[in-house]
Amino acid sequence: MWGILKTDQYLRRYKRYDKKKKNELNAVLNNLDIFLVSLRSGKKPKPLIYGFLHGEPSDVIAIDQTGGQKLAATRLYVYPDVDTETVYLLTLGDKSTQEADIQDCEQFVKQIRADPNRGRTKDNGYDDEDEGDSQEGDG
Amino acid sequence: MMTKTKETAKKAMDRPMRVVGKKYASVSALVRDTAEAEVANEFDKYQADRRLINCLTVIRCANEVTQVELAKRMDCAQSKVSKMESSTDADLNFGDIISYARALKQSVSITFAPARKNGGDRIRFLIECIKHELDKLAKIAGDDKTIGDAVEAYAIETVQNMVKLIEESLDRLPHRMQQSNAPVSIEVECDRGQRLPLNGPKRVHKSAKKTAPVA
Repeated sequence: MWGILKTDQYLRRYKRYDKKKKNELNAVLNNLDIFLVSLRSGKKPKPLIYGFLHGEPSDVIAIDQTGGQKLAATRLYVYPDVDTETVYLLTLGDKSTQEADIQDCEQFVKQIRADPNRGRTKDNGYDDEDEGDSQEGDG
Repeated sequence: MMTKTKETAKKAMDRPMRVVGKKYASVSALVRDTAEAEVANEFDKYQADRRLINCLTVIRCANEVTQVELAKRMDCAQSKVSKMESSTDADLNFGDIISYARALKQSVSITFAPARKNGGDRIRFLIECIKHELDKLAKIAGDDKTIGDAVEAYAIETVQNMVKLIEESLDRLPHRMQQSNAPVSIEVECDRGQRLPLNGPKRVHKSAKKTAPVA
């Protein structure tokens, strides 16, 4: 079943958006949920069937804030790995960070495609009960 | 002096991303783990306010219907479909919901029921719904033996499928996960005296056999 893994960069940006752009954050996460429902129903990540999805290089997909009203342009970059049924949450950003964000994402995708253990966590399962991890800083 | 592109490329090389934490089964679980309880509750409310319209959007896209195409079928402007999909459920017009669903060849049903206390009550209610539908089929069959046999075969198949699904749910129970493929086996005693196993022969396990007579 499709699941979600996050990166340290996503976490840092999440904290920033959580403080300043809560509505935008809720909108992109709501769209992520719709995308996940679609994947679980057997749809492939591509072609992009939703208006809020945008194709980027290296099979990265940008999920925008469409759906909310009067919201600033915001993009959540994800990489849906079909082999491991994992949606990687790469980073969050806006127009000003778009170029760097896409390059970061491309770099990451290269890295995980080369990793045979990708999509696996320590216990290789879902664990929704534990408290949040403490590996990331707020930079 | 480096150009902007080179600077951003360098930045990406300097600070590679890495996966942190565990795998989440849902966005809600992710938010609950990442944010404070108040923020997570806010997100849950945000989603709850859009449950219906999210569902309609998923159906539209799963059927590969664009907003323009849907608007044509609804005989309205594309902007109206877009506006609907950006609204909360409370802002939707009931007539528009019906129109949207019909344009996607979906039937709409609304259920009024007392607020259910727990999952067990809800399951009992859904079983009553299945009975209601099977009663309707039995009524259609009337005295026609051919249709009657088909309805009976269909009813048995339905129960068999339900047993399989229930088995899948039970397999998620921690104590069952420790056993390997512990089967749920149910036999139905028909009014003709036959005893029908409701699951495939491979999954029948004598030690776990239970008998569930059907009224």
